[in-house]
Formats: sequence, structure tokens, C-alpha cells
Amino acid sequence: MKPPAVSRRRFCLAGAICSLPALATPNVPGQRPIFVLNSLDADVSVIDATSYTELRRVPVGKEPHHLYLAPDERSLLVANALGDSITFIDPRTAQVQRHITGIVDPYQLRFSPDMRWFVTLANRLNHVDLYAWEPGEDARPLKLVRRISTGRTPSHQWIDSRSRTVYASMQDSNELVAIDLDKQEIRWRTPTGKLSADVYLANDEATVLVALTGDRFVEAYDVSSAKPRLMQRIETGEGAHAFRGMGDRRHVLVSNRAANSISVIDTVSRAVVSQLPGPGGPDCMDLRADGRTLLVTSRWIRRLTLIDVPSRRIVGQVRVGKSPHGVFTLDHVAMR
Amino acid sequence: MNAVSPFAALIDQVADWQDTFFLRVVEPSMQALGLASYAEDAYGAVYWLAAGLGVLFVTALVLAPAERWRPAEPLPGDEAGRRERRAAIRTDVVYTLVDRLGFVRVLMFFAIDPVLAWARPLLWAEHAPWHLDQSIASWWPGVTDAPLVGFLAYLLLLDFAGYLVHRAQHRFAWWWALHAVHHSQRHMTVWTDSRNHLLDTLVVDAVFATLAQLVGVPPGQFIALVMLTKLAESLAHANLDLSFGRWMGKVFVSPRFHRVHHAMGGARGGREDHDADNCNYGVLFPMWDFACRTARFDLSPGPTGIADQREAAGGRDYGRGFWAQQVLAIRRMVNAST
Repeated sequence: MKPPAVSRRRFCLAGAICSLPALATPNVPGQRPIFVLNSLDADVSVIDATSYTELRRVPVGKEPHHLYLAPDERSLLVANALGDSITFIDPRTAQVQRHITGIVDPYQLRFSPDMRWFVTLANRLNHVDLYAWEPGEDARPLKLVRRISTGRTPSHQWIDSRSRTVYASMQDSNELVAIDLDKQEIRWRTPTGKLSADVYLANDEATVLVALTGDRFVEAYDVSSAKPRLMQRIETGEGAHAFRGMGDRRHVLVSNRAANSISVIDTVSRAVVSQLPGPGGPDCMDLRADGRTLLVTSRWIRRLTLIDVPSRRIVGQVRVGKSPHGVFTLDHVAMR
Repeated sequence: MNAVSPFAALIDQVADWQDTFFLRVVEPSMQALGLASYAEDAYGAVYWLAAGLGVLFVTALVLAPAERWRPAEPLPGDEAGRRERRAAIRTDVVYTLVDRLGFVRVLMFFAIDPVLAWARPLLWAEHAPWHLDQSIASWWPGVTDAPLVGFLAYLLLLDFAGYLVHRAQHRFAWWWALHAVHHSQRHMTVWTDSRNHLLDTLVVDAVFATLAQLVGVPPGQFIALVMLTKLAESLAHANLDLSFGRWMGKVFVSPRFHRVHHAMGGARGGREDHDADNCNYGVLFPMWDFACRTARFDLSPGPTGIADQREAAGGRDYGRGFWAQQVLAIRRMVNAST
């Protein structure tokens, strides 16, 4: 495996599935805090990025699962799935900026690269919501444009760099769905393996990876033509769940929640090239700007685990809240 | 902000044991059985198990010994009576283990949760005035997100629901046929709270699970609410002559208040087909009894049981052991329905 390059931020070509997009952020390591969403405690752990100690908890809404950075990078959006709300937090100071209610079941969220769309997946209500992002509207920056009924339990998504297609997984109906953002309708849907979770669009913009939490595989789909085609099943580990690009536009990490491991996939050869430990049900990940410190939420042991990628060693753990899910720091490598 | 107090450290240690149990036993099993989709629910269920064990420990180590302090019902004077009492209590202990260790919840999970999962989009509709987050939060935004405020709001709501369900258990003949298992205990102790027919438990749990989903109780708080309620109910059933005093006894349900509800015969208990003369249905707070004019503080408890268990009334048999009670209740229910 090639060591991941520590690249400068690129202007939002893609975003994280569990954490954040690669935006134009200068590298100032060690200054910005690390955020961990404690999904069953309804709060966010703010962790000092130098000492790796929990500084405080920020109350948000019920069941915060995923988070995303606002296009202007001034706010981190924490989606409170059960609270039907979004909490805006300053990613540099961890101060709560505002709290927006009436965003129905925002389990997973993402901005389109052109900043036109803000897309939420309603995990318990089985639909995808397309919002217009109007940052000038302080009181109501998100306006619902279209609600699209999808399959059962929408789980994760990725939006292509041209902001034309949302690729979303349907966890309980085992599907991958493509939504046309111009027409705001479903373009196609295709069956996947068991319990499709995170989705990752490779750098070629033609290959979509889907992690199968009910199995031990990642599926690779060719989405370059009108109909998707399953190209390959890549064996990673039991409970393949969440992706995180390594910033070199080639390698991607996938957490295997039941195998308690993390696999590194070469998206060109479509092969696993390395395995890392991932204790306690590894879930969402973020890779720090040094390119080697992986932050991973250990979902079932209430810890944030720190892994040194080159040496494949666990270098620390921070106790956080119950069922930690999303993780983010502004000082991270690009998302692909 | 890591835990510093010994109590917090203990809580963390217990949570670590729970997590280890989930990670090493529960999650691999679920993955192997193709149930990975329920991993999060199972994680919550482990907390149910731990909370149930906690309630069991408190019941066994604190509440049960306290019954010797001021027993409401004296021990039988003869050995045969004491033996019969011990056997009756042993059966209640079996009920308690079944209930507190989550066997019924597991049954409910597979029987009812799929229905709830199907109904969830209806229950959680965008405009759902029954959802506390939408109703209260519309005039006080974010208030139900504050854990303590939300907890108290849900506690009051579920307690009122508990009162209504309890009224219904006495009101409807088929339901009373099942609920009579609970009332047929003539030696009421801290273990009697869980003495319920399995179908009765299933129906009641389904009502509360649906209601909790409906009003938006977070799963973690639901566990705490149920366990707090169960602990209070265990105390309410204790063989204790305790009323909490003149004022507090009217704020919280005391053992004496609830013993009046369980009293046999007379004007207030034991009529198996009608609840008009019954009283003191409250679970945690007697205020619902006050509001619905069913509160009675003027009565002495007397012996517990159902009126027709008396020899003079025919000495109806409600069964001695767990299975006998279960089968007889079903027969009564069938008879009541035909």
C-alpha cells in the first residue's frame, strides 16, 4: 500500500460519508478540536486534538448520528435524527451557533459540491429530502424542495462532483438508488447484498463502492452507463460499514464493524491492500491532516480510537459517550 | 471530562462490562444469525438486561429485607401456612426473573417490533401533534431535548397511561381474566409486581412501546423510565405497612396505598367482572386517582387476593405454580369471551 499523501484541501469535490467534505481548509494541525457524536446521549464530545482528552460535552438533539461541514466552513452541521433538528457548531471553537428544528429525520446529510443542494436521508421514514441551501436566510437556510420516497431505511449517500447524482443505499431493502438532482427523481435502483450501508464514489467517478454490513464484502458497481453493473465483490471483513478516503485519490478505508477491523482498499485494483485493527465495533472515521492518525468511533465501547495507519497500531483511546457515531476534525486530509 | 467520582467510575465500569458482553457475545451472534440490522436495538437490549439486573439486586438486597421491618401482613403462625407462603413467593420470584431479565421483551421484540417498524413512518409523521417534540417544542423549542425535562414529561405521560391501562385491566372481562393472575396472590411481597400473565405483559408492553414511539421517548430514556417504574412498583407491592406520611403519601404511591387496591373482597376488591368498586390504580403518582375520583385513603388494606378465592365464595383456584396460573388464565379468558 502506498502511504497516503497529505494533500491540501480541494474545493469540495467530494464529501465524507460519515464525517466531512474536503473543503478549502488550511492545514493548521493540532489547533481545531475533534468532534464525536454520542448518538444515544444526545450530545457531542469535544476533544482536544493535542492531548486527546475530552474537554466537554455539547448538548444537541436526540440521536445525533452524522455531521457535515457547511459550504462556508463556518459551521459544522450536526444532524439530530430523532430530534428532527440540526445543530450548527463552530468547528474551530465548538460553540453552538444555532439550532434549526423541523428538518425531518435527518439521519444522514450531505451538501452537493455546487452547494446548491443539501440532501438528508430519513432513516426511519424511508425517504430522501432535497433542500435548497440559502445561507443568506439566517432564520431558515434550508428550504425543502422535494421529498422522494425510496426503499426501506435510507442509510448513506454520496453526491458526484458534478452535483447531478445522489447515490444512496437502502439498508433494509438491500438497494442502491441513484437520484437525479436536476429532475429530482429516482434515475435507477439496483439490488445489493445484505444490509447496504456506506457509499463511496471512487475518484474515476464511475465506480461506486457499497459496504455490506450484513456480510463481509464491499461491492463495486460501474455507474458510468445508464444501468449500473456489479463488477466485483471485495472481501474486507464481517460487518463492512463505513468508508473514509485516504486523501491520495486512490485508497479508501472501510470499517468492518463485526470483524473489529479496518481494511484499506485500492480503488484502482479493487483489492484489499492492508488491514488495521478496529476495536469495539469501528464505525465512522476521519483521517487527520498528518495523514497517519486515523480517528475511528468504537461504537460499542464508548471510545474514540486513534490508530497510527503506517504502523497499523492503536495508539490511544478517548472515553466518550454512548454509541459514538460520527467523527470530525477540520484538520483532515482530503476525502478521496 | 472523564469520570472522577467513585460513583461515576463504578457506572463506567458496569457500562464497560455491558459493552464487553455485547461485543463478545451478542454482536457476533446477531451477525451470524443475519440480524445485523438489529445491532443497535440489541445494544439497547443489553442495557435493558443490566438495568433489569440492577432492579433485581435492589429488590433482593434492599426491598425484600425491608419487609421484615414493618410487615403489613404477619407471617402465618403455623408451619403449613409458612410453607404455603414460601411456595407462593417462589412462584413470584420466577415471574420476576422472567420479567426483569428481559425474556418477555425479547419475545415482544420479535412479535411486535416488526409491526412497530412498519407503523413508524405513520407514528413519526412530519406533522404529528402527539409527538412531544412537535407539540411542546412548538411553544418551547428544544425543551424535550433537555434530558431531565424530557424525562419528567415522559414520566408523567407514561404514568398516566399506566393508570388508564390498569383501569382497563379491571374493566374488560377478557383482560381481567389475565390480570387476575396478578391479583390472586394472597401473600403480596416485593416479588408480586411481576406476577402477570405473559399475554397480559405482552399487551401492556406493546401499549407502552407504541406510546413511547408515538410521543418520541428516546430509547435510552425509555429503559430508565420503565426500570424506575418497575422499582417503584416493586416497593408498592412490598409487604410493608408504610404510607410515606400524610403529604408525601398523596404525592407518591406507597405500599399501603397499593395494598388497598389489592385488598380482597368487601367494597373495594376482588370483583372479577367489574371495577366500579375498585380504587387506587395509580402506578407512581396517586394524582390520577385523585383526578378520576378513584383515590381512597380512608380504607385499611386487609388481606390481599380475589374475593372468590375465599372458601365461602367457592374457593376458586387460580393455580399454584407458574404454568398452572398461565393455563387457567387462558381458560378464564376464553370463557369470558364466549
